[in-house]
Amino acid sequence: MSTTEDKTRKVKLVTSDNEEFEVDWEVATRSVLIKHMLEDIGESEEQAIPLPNVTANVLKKVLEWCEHHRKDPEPAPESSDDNRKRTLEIGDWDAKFIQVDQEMLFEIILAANYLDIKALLDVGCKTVANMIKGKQPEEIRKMFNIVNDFTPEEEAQIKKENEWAEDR
Amino acid sequence: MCGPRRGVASRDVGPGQLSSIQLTYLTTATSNLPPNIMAFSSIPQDILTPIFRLIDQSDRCSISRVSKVLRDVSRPTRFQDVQLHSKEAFGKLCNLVCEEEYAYCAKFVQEMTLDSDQTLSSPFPRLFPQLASLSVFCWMDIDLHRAFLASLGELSSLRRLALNASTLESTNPEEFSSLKLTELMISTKDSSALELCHNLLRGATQKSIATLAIHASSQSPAGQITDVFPNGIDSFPALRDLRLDGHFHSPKISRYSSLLPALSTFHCSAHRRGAALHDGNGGDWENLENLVVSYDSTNEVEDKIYEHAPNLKKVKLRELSVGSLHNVLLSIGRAGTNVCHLTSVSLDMILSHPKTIIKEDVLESALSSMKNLEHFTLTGYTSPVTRFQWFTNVDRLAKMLSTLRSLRSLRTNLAIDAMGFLPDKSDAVLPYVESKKEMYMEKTKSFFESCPSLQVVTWGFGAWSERWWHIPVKRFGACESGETDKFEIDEKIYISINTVFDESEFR
Repeated sequence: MSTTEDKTRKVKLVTSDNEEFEVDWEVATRSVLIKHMLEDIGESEEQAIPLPNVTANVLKKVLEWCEHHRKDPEPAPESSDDNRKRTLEIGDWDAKFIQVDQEMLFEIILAANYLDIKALLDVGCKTVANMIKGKQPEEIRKMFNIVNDFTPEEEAQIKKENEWAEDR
Repeated sequence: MCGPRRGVASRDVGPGQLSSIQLTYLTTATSNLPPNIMAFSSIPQDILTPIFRLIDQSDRCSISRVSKVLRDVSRPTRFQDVQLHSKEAFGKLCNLVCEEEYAYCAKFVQEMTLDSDQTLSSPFPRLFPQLASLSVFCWMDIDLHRAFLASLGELSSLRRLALNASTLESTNPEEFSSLKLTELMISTKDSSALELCHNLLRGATQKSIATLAIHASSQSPAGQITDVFPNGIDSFPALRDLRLDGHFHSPKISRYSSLLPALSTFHCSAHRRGAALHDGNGGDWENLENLVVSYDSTNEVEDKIYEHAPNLKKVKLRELSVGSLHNVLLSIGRAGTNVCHLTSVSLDMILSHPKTIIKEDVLESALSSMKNLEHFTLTGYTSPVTRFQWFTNVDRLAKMLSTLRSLRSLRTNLAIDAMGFLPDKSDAVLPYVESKKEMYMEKTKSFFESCPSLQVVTWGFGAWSERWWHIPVKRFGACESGETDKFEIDEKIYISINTVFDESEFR
């Protein structure tokens, strides 16, 4: 539970490339990782939180998302079952926010995972899932710049492995 | 305390599979990307898995054919939730996992949906040790044979079973004695659903069952089982959600209240219900919160459920006769504080007994009892409704609703239906409704003025083409800052997919 004092408090974050960001407590604590770290260090406002797995340009983008969603309610804990059945829909603001190049998209996903920001990770995963949806293997290779490393025998094997799923 | 680390695979991915560290290496080694550019396969396994779960089975197959790495990483997801579109596909899956090389894939299978185009007459194979959910849908008039059904009793990991077939062959209770289901859904064209249900409920499932849905679309021949619960069992202690639909005996709730002590949601559309859910003789139903009942509009039912379910929150009563509606309103009014937890009430009636009169004070008394009501729906099907003046007089209805301090939404067709009839031709309906918008706005003001908490009034049109048309009028503006409220009529006119009114489509 956050207090009024918490909401006016500033938090310092230091990225892997040594850039420092000062942000509102409410924005920083969209990240469960940062929230727990702040709980551990207590009231010390001067102490910066090191984020060795996130670069400045990625953190900037992540904080933009956190700023926009600062007032969102805490996400309800979901079972793995619920995760599987949810839709691929993304809100308008999030869809615009995530229109970035592929490298940044993957960096945001990794940062959201590391910082434990479930809703942002969700947006990233849905975006990638939407990119894959309805595409043939060759189109996916081209889109993600992946080399086909199957031998003809392995191609035949994977066809056999999927036969039950492709039978309509 | 620490979040997941980049490049660290968090779970065992099975034989022949790779950790994300290896994935990164392989991708950069085999693609043309410069080494400092992040690649798709450098996303750790524990993130790729949820991505693959979001896509459907055919996309999972496509991704598995992209590269060796993705073939391996996608394997648990591909096999976890399998959808089989024919008996032949089912046979192919079984044959595959029987091969030594693919045997471990069988352990990934947790959910299976089988659409069968042919009779299933062989026992279900014991190949999938983690199978927790099985859904079998048989096409057209295909039956499920005894050998198949009886073998399901041996699936010790199974927790959820859904069967949909023309008929189910007879089985014995002993065959299911050790099965511990938490969810059971059976739908048949005859009453064989009830027999299997009885057999399952007599075993270990009796203690574990939490959700039960039974649909039987034709009447039972004389002498067959008609009640969904077998005799001789005192209680189903975990059952929370019960949905009964179709032609079978109307359950006697006086018995159910002790038989199903944990029940919180009850949908009863036993065709057609001409008896009360609770006749007032049994015990109270402490945990019941959500109730949906379809009544027989040709009967007058006196139900005392509202006096015996003190924690009811949501009630939806469909196809009430006017007499039954009158009795419901009387009962709610009588229940006093027992109905103060009601937050959502939806009543729809069919004017099959036009001589019955519902007095204004009966509705008024019922409304004043439901002190915490947030959503109220009152609809009727047959014109004319002018026989009930308080239904068609918006100002009087608004005055009655003014006692509800928490009311947020109101849906009704009754007053509007009295203002005119929709045109017969479908393409004339929309212009007609458009032309009346100003009038709807004016009529709605009475409701907004009487009920400060009310946010939306939805006008329904049920007279055309057995479909419901809806037009919402919303309140916006800042009441707190003293500004005058503003109202806005929705540009959209919603057409319900149901022939009966179902406001849940618009929530």
